[in-house]
Amino acid sequence: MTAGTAFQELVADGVTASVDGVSMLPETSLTVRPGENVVITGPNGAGKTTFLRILTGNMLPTAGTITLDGTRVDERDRTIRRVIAPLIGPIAGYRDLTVGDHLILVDQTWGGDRDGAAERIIAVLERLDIYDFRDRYLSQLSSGQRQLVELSIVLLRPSALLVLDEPEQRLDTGRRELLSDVLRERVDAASSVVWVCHDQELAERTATRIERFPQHS
Amino acid sequence: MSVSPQAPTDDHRLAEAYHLRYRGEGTQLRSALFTAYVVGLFGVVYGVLASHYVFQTWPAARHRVQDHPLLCALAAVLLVAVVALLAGRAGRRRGPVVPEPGHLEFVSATDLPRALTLRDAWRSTCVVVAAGLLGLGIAVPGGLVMAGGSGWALVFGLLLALVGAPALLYAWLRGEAAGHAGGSSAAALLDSLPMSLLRTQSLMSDSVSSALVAGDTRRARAQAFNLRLRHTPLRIKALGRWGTTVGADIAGLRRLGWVSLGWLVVQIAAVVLAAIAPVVHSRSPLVLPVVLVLAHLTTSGLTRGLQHHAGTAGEPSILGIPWQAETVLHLAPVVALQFVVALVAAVATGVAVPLALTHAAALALALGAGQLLYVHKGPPPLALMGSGGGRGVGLLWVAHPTMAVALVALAGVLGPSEALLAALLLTSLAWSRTSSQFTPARPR
Repeated sequence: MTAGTAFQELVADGVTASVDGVSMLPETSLTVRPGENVVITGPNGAGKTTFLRILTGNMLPTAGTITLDGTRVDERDRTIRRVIAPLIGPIAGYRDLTVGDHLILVDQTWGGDRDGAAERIIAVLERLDIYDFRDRYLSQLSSGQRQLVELSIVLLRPSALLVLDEPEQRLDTGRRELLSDVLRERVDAASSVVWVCHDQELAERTATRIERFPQHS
Repeated sequence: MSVSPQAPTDDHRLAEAYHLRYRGEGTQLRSALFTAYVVGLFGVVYGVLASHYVFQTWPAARHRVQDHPLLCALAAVLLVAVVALLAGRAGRRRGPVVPEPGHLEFVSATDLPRALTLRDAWRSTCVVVAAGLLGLGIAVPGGLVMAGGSGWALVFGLLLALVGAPALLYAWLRGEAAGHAGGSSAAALLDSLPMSLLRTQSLMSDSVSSALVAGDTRRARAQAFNLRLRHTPLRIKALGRWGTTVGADIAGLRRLGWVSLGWLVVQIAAVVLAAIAPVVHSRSPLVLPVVLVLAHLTTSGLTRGLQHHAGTAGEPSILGIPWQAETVLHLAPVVALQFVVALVAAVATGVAVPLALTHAAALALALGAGQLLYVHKGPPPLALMGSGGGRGVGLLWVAHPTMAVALVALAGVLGPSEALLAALLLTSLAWSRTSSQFTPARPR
């Protein structure tokens, strides 16, 4: 739960994505500032996940720009990666590393000090109520447990903006409450969250702003 | 080995089931006959030439066979016995009777005797294995005879193939039917194969084949070998950015236990072989390429981190290091090991130090670059596949990293500097391809 590099604003300006003339994302604009919890809702095929990929610099838009404090967003840029932590689709974890191993690897490669690693990792595991799974391989987790483990990985690395694609999926009611609390804590600590959510009630309870896709519809 | 004849009504129903499934398409047996023809013909023609080349180039091997014919015959029989033993074990994962899934659903799922519905699949394997072993049984002694050896070697080779092929096939089938067998004849073993096992092996075989056609040898290997991880509560150590990444690779390899140890042993053996004085000073242009290709193939068992990294290119990385650093950290320990082993082997066998250094550097660079090309090769480009070459082009694409490594070894025949230059060029090409994999995706 390390703080990342602070930012002023992330601006998506008229971005689109299309393949062979078929639109995957109609023109979309969005600005995110510190302390915001922006939930994106909308029907399937509205381009929500495509937008998240573009927003995090993992995909180039067909048109439009994404800038973070004036700098074009590209996932390969280290500065950008210290601000934006995406969880879009399943994390490509190692089949031969346990949950605890993954967290150590993530913590250390993001520059965590060696002595405090155990404390940070235990804290995030306990916060998400998955401490008991620390010695399991990813293949030994249920889909809901894996969802929480993946969330713990993005929470552990430094970031000032979490970008999540349907993190509530596969979670039971109690764990959705937990997710809601964790995201609120992030926003209270001046971080931001942009996430796609299909649970309208959860979205309304947690968000500071709701964006409905496709825009201009 | 033969399957007992069935009642005519069963044969008639079998023909109808075949018609329903294949509707004039070539059956498994027909394509097996063609494969056997190709394997037999090429095995004999090229095998005799290769064997002749070996016995001609290394007369000591020929003399040893001539001086100790009984011992060599015994060794050949022992080799066939070991292969039959291994076939028995392999049968549990992939037996000799694996019809394609459609055949299982339309033909084997009927109430016809299983020995009948699996007859063609079994005969197909028998034909291919027999052709292969006969080709080998003719090729190896044939080359010896051409190089001046005794003609009895050819007779022995043929006899061994004729006895060894049925023994191997039977052991393989017994392996497949292990735990289900209700008799010892081939027909009884075929009858005892349960549909669940056939379906599992058939689907696995299908997915391995499709992965190979797509040029994805890593997926093919993952499908074919169900690697078991040793469960250990020990975690990797927090060793900073670089140390933890390397430590994770080592931990991953350790958890595969004997499999990793096996890869390490054959890798070291191959690198040693590629660096010892007789190979470095060999006048044959084929020795170093063959040995280096072997080293390249065995390296892939030690680069699990690099393979994972390549497989996730284009996805958001969970690690806090740039892709360049991650690539180097996954590859550098293996390359360093290759360099040190090659250098020590070369110097210990009498290669001059400057030449040993250049040779070891070229070898390690070529093997490192070969791994980069291998892990980032992806499926064959559509432009290539659409060029009419079909499977041949696909095969070339799968093999191109290996061929690139062999080319560096061929450059080594010209001289150590040429080899180093070729290895550097290959490294630059491989790095450029790696770089292209880590660009943000474009909507396609």
